[in-house]
Amino acid sequence: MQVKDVRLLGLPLQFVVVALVSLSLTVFLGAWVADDRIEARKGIVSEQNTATVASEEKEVWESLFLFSCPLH
Amino acid sequence: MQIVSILRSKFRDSSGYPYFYTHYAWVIVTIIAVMQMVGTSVRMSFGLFIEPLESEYGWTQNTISVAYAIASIVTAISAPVAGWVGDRYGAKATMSFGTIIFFVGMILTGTVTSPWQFYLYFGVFTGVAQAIFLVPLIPAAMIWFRRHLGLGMGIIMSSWGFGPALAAPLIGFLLEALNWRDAFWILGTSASIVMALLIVLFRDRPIDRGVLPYGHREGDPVLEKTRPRPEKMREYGTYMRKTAAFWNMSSIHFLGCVGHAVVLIYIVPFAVHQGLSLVMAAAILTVMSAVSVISRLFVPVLSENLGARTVMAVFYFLQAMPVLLLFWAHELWILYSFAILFGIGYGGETGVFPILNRKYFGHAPMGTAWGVQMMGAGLGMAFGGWIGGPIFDIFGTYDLVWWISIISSLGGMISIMLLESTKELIIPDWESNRAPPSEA
Repeated sequence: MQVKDVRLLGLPLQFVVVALVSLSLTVFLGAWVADDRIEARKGIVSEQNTATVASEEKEVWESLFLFSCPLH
Repeated sequence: MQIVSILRSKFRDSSGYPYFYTHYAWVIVTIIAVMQMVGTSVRMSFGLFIEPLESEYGWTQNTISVAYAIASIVTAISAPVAGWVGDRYGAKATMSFGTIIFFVGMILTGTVTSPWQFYLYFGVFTGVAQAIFLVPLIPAAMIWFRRHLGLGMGIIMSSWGFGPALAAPLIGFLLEALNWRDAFWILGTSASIVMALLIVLFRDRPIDRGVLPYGHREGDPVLEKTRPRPEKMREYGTYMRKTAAFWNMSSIHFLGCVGHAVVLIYIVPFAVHQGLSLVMAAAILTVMSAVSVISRLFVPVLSENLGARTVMAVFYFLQAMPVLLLFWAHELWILYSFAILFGIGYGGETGVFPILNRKYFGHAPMGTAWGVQMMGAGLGMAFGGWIGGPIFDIFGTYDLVWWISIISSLGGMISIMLLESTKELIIPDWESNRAPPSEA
């Protein structure tokens, strides 16, 4: 059996691998950037010495990425 | 006419038939090339509209660029549907619909006052229109070529390099002379008029013009007089979807587009980072595009004569390797050398897909297959255009960005080498499964 004949979920293996790797990278990097941005905002708020609810607020896309990524 | 005679006498294929001769197929190729240039040039020049929108409404660049991202994603998702519609209803009807959608989208975009309107009118409407201009036209051109498909495809593919180069200065001029609303209205109206006139001249199939396909020889099957039966199209759609090549060509296109989208988006900020002026950095893109026009023109022809998979793998390799220069690109001559070498591979990346489709699927309707491949391409452009941003923000260097480009292109090359052999069709022959005479 050759690589091109191997199927996963009914689709060719190489198609599935490319899709999964790309999706995983997107979620991981998106969550990393979201995490960095939230930490940066917390840092700014601490420097200003104000504890406000706004420091905990996340943008919708940040929440989505952080929710999707099991490593963040 | 003398030039035609010379071309006819000098260039003959292995069977002694002329390689080039006058035929309405060249009118079709010209129409498709111009339609694709006109239809896609507005989106390619999107960046020119950012500053005027920023000035008028105070929207951030992020807010404005979401419209471009939406248009790219809508185009990618709509691509398979656009391909199916082209197969089912014919390219002429589909193009007419696409032109209407484009016109409405451009006119409405000139009326926006809030971001959601911009996202809907530009993002969704022009996104759908772009899918229609990009997808059904290539299978439509393929119907016109029994042989020498590479020649027709080469001309069409090279138009993809010209469109943005011609459109950007024109749009810039309009924005300087008028306001952005008038620019959208004038562009939308004039482009739609041009496309409507071209559609009048367009014919879905050679038989609609009373001619045989280009390269037809005695003994070749003749195209059916009627449009393919929906049942037969469904049957062949099922055959295609069961092949590995149908899906793998989409992921290969995805990888190839990631490989060059990363470079197209990040080479300018990288070059500025290295100390170049913005003008000199932008010129790198111009050199790359100009060189790519040459390989776009010749690669489909080369692939027909030297082997589609071999040529495609070579050009994916040629797209990957020059990126290594960027790790040492501290001087202008290295950056421009990179632009020339990369442009060769970049230009050859897309042109072989129609040839491979013909090798694998023969003369079956190609719209859905090509649409799925263009979906891969669109998602690759979006992914490649995005991924460099977070990587640079996190690591503060472009090195990893360039490795993403190299690995994607090489991954695509390996995938190409694992594709099925092109020695024979991988689905039943469409032309040997004809409708009963009473239905013809």
